[in-house]
Amino acid sequence: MSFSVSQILGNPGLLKLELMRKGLRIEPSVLRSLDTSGSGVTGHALFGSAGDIDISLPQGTWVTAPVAPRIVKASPYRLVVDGDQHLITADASAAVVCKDDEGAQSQSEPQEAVPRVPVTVQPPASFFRRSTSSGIPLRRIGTVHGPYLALSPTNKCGFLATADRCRFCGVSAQPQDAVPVADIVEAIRIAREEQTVNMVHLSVGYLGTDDGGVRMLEPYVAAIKKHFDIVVAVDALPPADNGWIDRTYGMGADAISYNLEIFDAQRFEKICPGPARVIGRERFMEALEYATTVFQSGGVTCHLIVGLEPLDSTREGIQTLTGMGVVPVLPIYRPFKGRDMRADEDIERFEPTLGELGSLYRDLYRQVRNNRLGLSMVRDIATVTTPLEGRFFDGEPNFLRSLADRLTGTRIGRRTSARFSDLRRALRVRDVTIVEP
Amino acid sequence: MSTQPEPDNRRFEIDRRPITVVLLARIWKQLLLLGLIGLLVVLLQLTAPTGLSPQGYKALIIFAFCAILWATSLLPLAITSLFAMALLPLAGVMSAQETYSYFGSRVVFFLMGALMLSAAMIATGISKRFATVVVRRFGATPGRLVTSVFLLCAFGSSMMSAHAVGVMVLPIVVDITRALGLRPLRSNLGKALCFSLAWGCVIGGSLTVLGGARGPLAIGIVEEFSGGAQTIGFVQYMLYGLPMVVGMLLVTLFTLKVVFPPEISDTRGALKVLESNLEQMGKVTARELVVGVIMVATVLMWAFAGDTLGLDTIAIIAMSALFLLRAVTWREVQEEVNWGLILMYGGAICLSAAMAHTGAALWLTELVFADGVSSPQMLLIVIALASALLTEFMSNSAVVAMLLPPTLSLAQANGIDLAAAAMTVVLPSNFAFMFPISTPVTALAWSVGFYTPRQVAVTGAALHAVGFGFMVILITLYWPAVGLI
Repeated sequence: MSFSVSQILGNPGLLKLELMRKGLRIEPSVLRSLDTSGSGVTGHALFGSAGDIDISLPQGTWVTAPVAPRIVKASPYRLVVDGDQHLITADASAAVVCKDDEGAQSQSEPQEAVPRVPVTVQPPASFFRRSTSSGIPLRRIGTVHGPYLALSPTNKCGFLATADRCRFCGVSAQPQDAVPVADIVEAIRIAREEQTVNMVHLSVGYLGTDDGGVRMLEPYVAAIKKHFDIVVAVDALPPADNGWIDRTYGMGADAISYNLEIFDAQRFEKICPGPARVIGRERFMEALEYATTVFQSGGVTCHLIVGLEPLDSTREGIQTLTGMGVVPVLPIYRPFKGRDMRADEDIERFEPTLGELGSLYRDLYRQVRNNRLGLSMVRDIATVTTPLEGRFFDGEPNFLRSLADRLTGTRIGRRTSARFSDLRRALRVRDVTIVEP
Repeated sequence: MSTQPEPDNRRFEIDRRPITVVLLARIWKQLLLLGLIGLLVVLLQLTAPTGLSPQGYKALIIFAFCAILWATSLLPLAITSLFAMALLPLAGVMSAQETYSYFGSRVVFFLMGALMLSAAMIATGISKRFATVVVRRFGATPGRLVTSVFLLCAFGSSMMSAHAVGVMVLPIVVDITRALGLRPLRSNLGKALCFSLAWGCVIGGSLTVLGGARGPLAIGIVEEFSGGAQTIGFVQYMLYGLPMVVGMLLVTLFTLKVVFPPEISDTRGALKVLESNLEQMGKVTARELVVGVIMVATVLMWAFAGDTLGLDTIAIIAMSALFLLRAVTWREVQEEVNWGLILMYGGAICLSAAMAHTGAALWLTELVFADGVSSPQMLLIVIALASALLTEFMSNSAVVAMLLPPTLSLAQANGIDLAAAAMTVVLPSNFAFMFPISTPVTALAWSVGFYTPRQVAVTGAALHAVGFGFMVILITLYWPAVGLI
């Protein structure tokens, strides 16, 4: 399968994949006009140590694209400025012929026929340069990309300094104290000052406890829910007992991720030895299934990294998970915060072509829709192609569905979604804590 | 910024039913209430039926609306009453000035004083000491133990709210059952003690006007209905129901002894515990003494000077004396008094006045009893039966608030003494024997775990029948004999 430049530029899903994979060339003069001073800081620069910028493509599609010249010099895509408007186009000499990764050739296009796509550039937020009132640099706490804010109240993970560490993980092994709750609230406030943040993702690693980090996250979630109408997602490891999953929902989390990362059992053990040994794949699946009975449809997600196992295995994962009521999220493997697995000879890699990726995300979208799973909890994420963005690979969308997707993605739509999520919790959850006299 | 630390053992239950079912289960009351309000608005727009003035029609609609709310507890009783007070001027039944003036009824202040006296007794601990002393003094055998608990509860609830007495005596009963090692659901003595607690409180509450808030409410409604021309005095109230109360006490005590013969003969263990409890209380404090003296003096004043000074005036003087002598603090009174009860009564009296003054009550009763009642006595028996049945499903105060206004109109039309009519409603409204939910004391006694709801229903039904039998005797023999009807 091959795609012409026009096809790619005209399809936000394809363009997002291309920009994430190949990056965006920006003329030095244009680059200087953008405030990219925060683009290289640790935390924001997910793709190695290169600088990234967040761009809003047509149809509300967010993408984080690498822009460092040494990374993107081979990219056919470039950012141009026309008056006050930013546009993405393809360089005629480099990209008139867009080769599919499999080597198929499409017809050449004349330069004047290459479309220019209007986009909105969101320079890296000052978030990354600021600190909380108590002096904690925000870049230590988390990262913000467009509407998506990810925070880690603690970087502690019992696997980090051991052989059990996940092979793709780039988190520093130096443990730091948990960030005060007030600082997390302040971080969200700062992020919302300049970005339309509508989802907070709280992540926690392996803390050596049976609760999957729920106790640790509880005051943070409570404080966030107290101060903001915002969707809160928790990214944790499955707890030993399902009661903790009830508590995760009861304490205010709107969505939960238990990330298996790799669906293939043997590769899971190899790439994620800690979670495989201590928790086990079976418990991951159990916890995910149980969580679907607690959280709202689409509120239970599981990352499967694309490129670290055969696509057939990923597809099997999509089918199994969606059948259980879990929404798979498929990030493409990238060196993460400086950790590059490409040097690991014992890890087999399966780099998909653009055509294969398009087909994979289309299948993901169809499976999620066929199983009637909600898509609103995992959307507008700049660093990964979301299941909802799989619609760009599935032909012409239904008008009403498209309208609904757009409306729920607006600021007021997201706020309403957070309110409805809170209402659902208020209706479904009963606090049965026995208060000791 | 700080967040409240959550308990480490925090647990949640997730309701997994379909969300529409969960939603309906959570808001059906609100939906029903909205539906009722909608119906109220529509009905208020309709034309009054023949024989009823527009104001009377509206008063009747508002009354029916409140009766449903009282019966179903869709809103707290007090809020329903306040709602009624707002609706009356809104619908044009009475002016706002007139409506709210009924809240200043004398009986509201009497009730407030009585509740404050009761609060002082609980706060100072004199009521608990008295109960413990009585049971320890007279509980030498299992039979006497049951009798002392029963009579203590009956006497106590004739002086203060039955609920307060139940709360006070319950720990004593629990201590006794534990000290004697009585087995839940098995022990006859355990059953007898718990039933003594529940039924003693229920029956004793009918003796005086202090035994529950329904008495003052009935007096207030009678006073408002008659424009202040008639009331029911403290002693008069006692005399109306005395034979029934005494009779029921005797029958019930006999029943307890026969149906639940005690399986043990030695009560020394229980007496030792009560002895220890008394030691822990220490000597009688000055505060207890002052409250005790004021309480006795107040009851005597109500009995012998109530008609001349007024029950309300005596109550307020007693209440002031409590504070003057520093026997109780405002905080203690504030915590112990059920202020919602006072609000409920103010509104109910106001609504009954509206029913009476607009002719709605008379119209309603004539409609219901136009052809079916052959004599005044039969009429009272039918009303007593309605009151006795309703009270098993709704609070006795709500029964009085609902049933009394039309009953008074009917009584007036049939030449029946208003006081007799009021007592016909009030006395059976206390027959809440059958279900643990009927009154708070029944639920309290049931919570100890010695009998099942079925046993409450069976024995309660029998007592209910006995009580109604006594009521018929009152209406047909006693009241005519003493010239009440």
